[in-house]
Amino acid sequence: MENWKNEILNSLEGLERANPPSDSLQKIQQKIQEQNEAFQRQWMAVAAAVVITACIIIFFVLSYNSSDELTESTVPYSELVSDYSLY
Amino acid sequence: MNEKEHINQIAQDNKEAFQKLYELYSSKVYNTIISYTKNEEDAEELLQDVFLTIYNSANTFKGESSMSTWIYRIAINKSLDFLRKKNSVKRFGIFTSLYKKDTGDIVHESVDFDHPGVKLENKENGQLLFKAMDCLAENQKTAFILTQIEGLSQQEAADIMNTSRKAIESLLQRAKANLKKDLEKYYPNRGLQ
Repeated sequence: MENWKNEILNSLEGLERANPPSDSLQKIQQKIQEQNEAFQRQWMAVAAAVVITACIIIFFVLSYNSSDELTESTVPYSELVSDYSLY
Repeated sequence: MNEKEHINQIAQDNKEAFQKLYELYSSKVYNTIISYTKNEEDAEELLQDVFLTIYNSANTFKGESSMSTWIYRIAINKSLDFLRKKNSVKRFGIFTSLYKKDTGDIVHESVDFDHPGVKLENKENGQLLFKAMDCLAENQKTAFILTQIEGLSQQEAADIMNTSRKAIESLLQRAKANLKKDLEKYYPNRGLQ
């Protein structure tokens, strides 16, 4: 009665190892390359975003400073003095 | 070159070291995985996933366990994740599931699987065994696959499963008892022939 079950349980005796398809290594190497390229692209996109943001900030800071200088230079000192009637 | 150095080389993107590791472990990994997936296409997909994980996490290998133990653990975890996902998808599949008459549990018809390494005279029994293995709990199945299919010693299996050799022995006994019960249930008339 038990015999047939033991036969089934022992059916894997002398089992040979299953081997992967021959092109598996190539496929894995290709996936690694794709992954590395995607990673590089991602970093380049991040770096580009940082550079663009920095440029925008620098542009606004410079234009803000130059408008300050303009304001200062357009107000004539003599007019200011006369307005307050210092003399 | 020792194991830690070998893995370090892989972490530094050394293609030769990676190829050497693949040559050493690909058939072990594939043979283990195919015993879980019971499908060559899924096994190939998982094999690629395992080696990609090895490449990506090579810098995290601390050398506390052997390289072989580490690789088997990755392969087993990937295989069990794959089975869990597959079962959860099937559980919701109206057309793929049937209800067990006696308990109401959901069961699935598994496709007959021919392990490519089984001897011709054992093909039929091998199919029955792989079918019956579906009934085993994850740890019983892993202990059975590692020792009976992959041919590892109980101590090696214990290291991989992070348990004791005694625990593996007990898991194997329970696995064999459950397999016998399941075979009786599936083929009640077989012993009478």
